[in-house]
Amino acid sequence: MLDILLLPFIQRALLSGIMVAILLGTLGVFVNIRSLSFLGDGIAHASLAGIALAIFVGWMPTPTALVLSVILAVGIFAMERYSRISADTAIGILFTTGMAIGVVLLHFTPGFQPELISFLFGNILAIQTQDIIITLSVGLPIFILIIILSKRLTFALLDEDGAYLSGLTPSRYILTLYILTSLAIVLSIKLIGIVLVSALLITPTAISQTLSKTFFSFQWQSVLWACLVVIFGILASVLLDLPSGASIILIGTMFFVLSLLWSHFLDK
Amino acid sequence: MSKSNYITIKNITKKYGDIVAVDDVSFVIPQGSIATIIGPNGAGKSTLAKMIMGLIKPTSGSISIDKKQPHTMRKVIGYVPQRFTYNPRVPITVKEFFMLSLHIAGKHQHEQITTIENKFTDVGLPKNIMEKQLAELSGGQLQRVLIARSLLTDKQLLIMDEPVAGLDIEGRQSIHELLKELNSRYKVTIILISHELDVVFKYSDNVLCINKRMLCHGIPKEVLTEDVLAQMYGMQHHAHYHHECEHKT
Repeated sequence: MLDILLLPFIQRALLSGIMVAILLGTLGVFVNIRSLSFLGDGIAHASLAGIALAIFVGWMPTPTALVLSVILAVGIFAMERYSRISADTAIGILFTTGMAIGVVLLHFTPGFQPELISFLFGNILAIQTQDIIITLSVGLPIFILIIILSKRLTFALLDEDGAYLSGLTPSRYILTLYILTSLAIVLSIKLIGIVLVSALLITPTAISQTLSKTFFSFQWQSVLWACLVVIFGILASVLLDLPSGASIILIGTMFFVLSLLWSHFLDK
Repeated sequence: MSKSNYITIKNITKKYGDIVAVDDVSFVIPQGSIATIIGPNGAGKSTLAKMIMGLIKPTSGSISIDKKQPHTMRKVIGYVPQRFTYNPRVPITVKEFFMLSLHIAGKHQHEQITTIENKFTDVGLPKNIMEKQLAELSGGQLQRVLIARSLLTDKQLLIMDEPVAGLDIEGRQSIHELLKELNSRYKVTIILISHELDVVFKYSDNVLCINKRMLCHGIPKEVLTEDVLAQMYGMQHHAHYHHECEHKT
């Protein structure tokens, strides 16, 4: 079984997967504080517009989707702040609009698009060295920024009024969270797929939430479970010949159910 | 001994579209005093408090705290909201919750623990509560935790928006006694929003009666007349008022 770890495409998938797991596991905690589980789903689906645009005009899909995700994040924030609609409604509108633009662009793109299928459902074979470089160069600054801002982000998201009276400007941190989460989601799309990527933002954090008694534990366990879900998911994908995205998510769900049972028995 | 005016409000009005929440209100609050804002539901009490903190901008008029704009003074304001809205499913302990404020204030870790322990003693909370999750606290414990948190970083002004709502009689009295003690010990100015007239008579130096506009302002026993209460609450509060006056004397 260990032989498969020597395969270059497995190594690339594991490396890329662990990087996005660290990012999404870290960000998942902040998304959870704000009860915005729908954010990941919305950004991922809306990014189809960026990917379809890139395929249509011949650009690189991931960088195009990254730029579009930042625009979407700012759009969600602006709609939430400056109109009467909630964040969930704003996400819902942009989610479907992005998907619709993507479908229209793909309608005008001639021929079969194998790359598109990878983006929709995830494909470990599709992870190239270039993807790892993009993930590292975008993901590392995101991770460093989250570590630096961790306490401020927590305060601003948990207690906006309290954070304001401590001298912070909570809206800046909320916008920062939206942008960083959007970028991290797009970085994960090639491995896990548009359809399933948000689960990696939600499920490891939910496992951690079930098992944690302190916020510190909530944070590190979220990252740990995200990494374990990705590693076991990729290995299951290769060994059982399953699509990588679905395999990762099903492993996550299995861990989540076990965590619920474990927590239930501990409480008794 | 006369006290200098700490908060000066001049002709503030807050409108949401055509709806007037606060209408041309002016008053001053002396430094180190306890002022209670009373008024019926929807009278604009919480809106007024949020304008003093700089959380809401008035449509017109001016507010100064120690002769400065509210948002520049926000770090010296402690706030206990009517209902603390947070995500109770987030596993965060009381200690971690306190440390967020102290981290932002730039206090070192050992300094943070000492500060938290001191404030716990101030508000009568046992130290073992520090390791409990916020969601595990009773209503009274959470209010005390919020009061202790509002005192963490040398606050000069405490704004308490119905801090005893939902507590039993014993809990209410102990919180009010605590506020009185904090006021006399640390000389903090306290603005209390309350529905309870006995609290006004027993603990307040000044009372502000609000029903969109200012109905009275001054020393409670001088300004809280039957007419004023009837204007604020209607006739049903007359009996209650008489009871409070008898209780007071």
